Amino acid sequence: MIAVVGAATALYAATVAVAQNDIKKVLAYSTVSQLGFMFLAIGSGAYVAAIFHMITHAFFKALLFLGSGSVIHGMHHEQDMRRMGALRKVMPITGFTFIIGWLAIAGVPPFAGFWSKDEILLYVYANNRGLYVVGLVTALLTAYYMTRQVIMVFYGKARWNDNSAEHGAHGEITPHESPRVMLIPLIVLAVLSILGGAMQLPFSKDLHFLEHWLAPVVEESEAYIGKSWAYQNKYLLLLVAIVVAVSGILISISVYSKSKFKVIEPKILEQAWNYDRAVSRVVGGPGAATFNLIAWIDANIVDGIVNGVGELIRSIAGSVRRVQSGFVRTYALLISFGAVAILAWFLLREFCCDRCSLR
Amino acid sequence: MIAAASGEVLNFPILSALVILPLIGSIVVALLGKSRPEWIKLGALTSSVTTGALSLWLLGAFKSGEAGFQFVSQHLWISQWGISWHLGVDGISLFLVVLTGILFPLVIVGIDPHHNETSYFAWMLLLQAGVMGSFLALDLFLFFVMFEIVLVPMYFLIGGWGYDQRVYAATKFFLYTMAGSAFMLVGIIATVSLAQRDLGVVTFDLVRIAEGASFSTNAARWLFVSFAIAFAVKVPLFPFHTWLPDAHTQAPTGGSVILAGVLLKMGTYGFLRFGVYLFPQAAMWARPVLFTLAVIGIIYGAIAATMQRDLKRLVAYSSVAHLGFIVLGTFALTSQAVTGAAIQMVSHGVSTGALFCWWA
Repeated sequence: MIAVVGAATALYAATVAVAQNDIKKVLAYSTVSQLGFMFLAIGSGAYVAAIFHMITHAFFKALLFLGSGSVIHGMHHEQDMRRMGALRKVMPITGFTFIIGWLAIAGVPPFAGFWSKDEILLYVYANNRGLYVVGLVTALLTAYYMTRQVIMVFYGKARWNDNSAEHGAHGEITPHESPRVMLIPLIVLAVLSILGGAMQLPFSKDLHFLEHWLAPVVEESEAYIGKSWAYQNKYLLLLVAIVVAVSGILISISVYSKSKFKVIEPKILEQAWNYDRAVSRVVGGPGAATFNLIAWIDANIVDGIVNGVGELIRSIAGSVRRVQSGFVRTYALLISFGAVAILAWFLLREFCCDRCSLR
Repeated sequence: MIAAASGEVLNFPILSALVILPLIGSIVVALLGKSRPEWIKLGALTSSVTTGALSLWLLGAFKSGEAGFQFVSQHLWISQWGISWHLGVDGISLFLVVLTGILFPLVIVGIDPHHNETSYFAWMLLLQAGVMGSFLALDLFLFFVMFEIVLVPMYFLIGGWGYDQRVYAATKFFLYTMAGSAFMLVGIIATVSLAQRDLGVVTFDLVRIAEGASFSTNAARWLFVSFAIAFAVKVPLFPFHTWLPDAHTQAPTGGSVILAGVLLKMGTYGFLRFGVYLFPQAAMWARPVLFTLAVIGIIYGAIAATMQRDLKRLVAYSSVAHLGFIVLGTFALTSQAVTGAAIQMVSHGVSTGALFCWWA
């Protein structure tokens, strides 16, 4: 169940990322997609792989986000990728580190992302082959949209002054490289993205450093796939992962760089399958109306009962109060009635003692 | 007899001090206020800060890991009825006492009334005495007195220094809570008279009754219900919660802080100390109902809070929701759940108290 949710998330977000034009939005949906991968791993019993991917993802996603921040800074706060292009020449270090992040997330060996993603796919195959296919498709899309991003931002034609007249106060902009304070973290993260895979290489049990470190917590519940077909043929699956990643990159290059195929970015993907809009409309519309109704019920009906009880007591008290009229003659009348009643009680008791039950 | 736990004799009746100091402070402020207005706040602050300091010392001196009540202070009061001035603190009440000790000085120092400072601070200190007393009382009669003492200052604080509909809100609060407590009074008297059969003497002492007396299943359930009604109104548990939004909205800032931070906890504390301690099987029997009400309160309170336009009302409804959690934890009756409920009592007191201070 968790695996299905994870796979669905990964696929959903990857399809949406293909059509985004804001440099950070691509990375945002990419993050959602990679988290889907992590949950796919957890659902398949691969806790170590999930944490491994979480760590490597931290490295390259932080790198990519900081890199995009550097790009935005250099582009004077322009975030739309359609107005970028050929930034590799103007921002070499940003470009170089971003490319390392790109290769890591796309799953190209020997960068960190490849090892963690491959580990996940191995366990997923052993668990459920359908989900494995979804995972592969998502990996393909990941390579595809990330390559698209790299091409749109760093390669191709420089589009930053194409519509400079529409920019308003901006006018012509000259992008520049960012200061050292921004570049040094990029370099650090790039190094980590390159070397990060070393904590859990699949080649031998001795190299499973992360697994040994996590063993006290996850060993009991970790899925054991040692005897599965997947594990026996793990190098084949490794090769499949590489092929998928590289083909994703090549397809993207042929669409966006070489323009061999038409660009396919349907509007529905850009709108994130309208999911966000749907949620807002439900919560804002009938949701808010229901909540308002409940608040009204509380203030008027529940509280109304409370106030009603108070009113009831007041009105009863108001009526009972009238007995205390202060009119002494009424009191005398009531006293005489009471005296007659008491007398009647005693007389009846005396004379009906056999038949009546008043005794 | 005044003794601390583990046989060591503490020569200072710290718990009585916690109750009596604010009381003395209240009287002093009330008497001196007219003639020396500049000393009003200082006097109030001294009294409450000392109480707070004593409560913090108590926190340090308390021996954790020991069951039973510590720093017990017991003096016979009305001997024919077995009523005594019996105070004691254990793990549950300790943190509530500290919360009270910290919250009151903060309210006194931070929030100034716009008029009649004398009466305001006098009522505040009386309120503190009452709250401390109800958290520390181990005698049913004393607890009832303290529980009711709390109502009077709160009524005057809301009614005298509140906003537009203050009189309505104050009256509603007072009457509603007192109506609930009326059931508790009947319950207390019934408990005492039923316990007399087992114990042989008439006593209002909580510990003696809880440990010595046994009640028939039916009787225990009725008694539990009578106590529960009072606490359900105080907590407040759905659907007895409607006094809270009005009281919170119309109360002055300081009043709101104390109401949310401390007074509501008296209800949940009462559930633990009297409901569960005295009638454990009845508490088990009542669980389904209390769970349902608590969960309804949580969700309903949150939903009602979402659409409020008045910010104070919003926080009031959110208090309903959070106190629902506390009741849920209390009646889950596992050690972790009750601990969680106790922690939530303190954390809610602090956080909601802070939220209301926003209006100062």
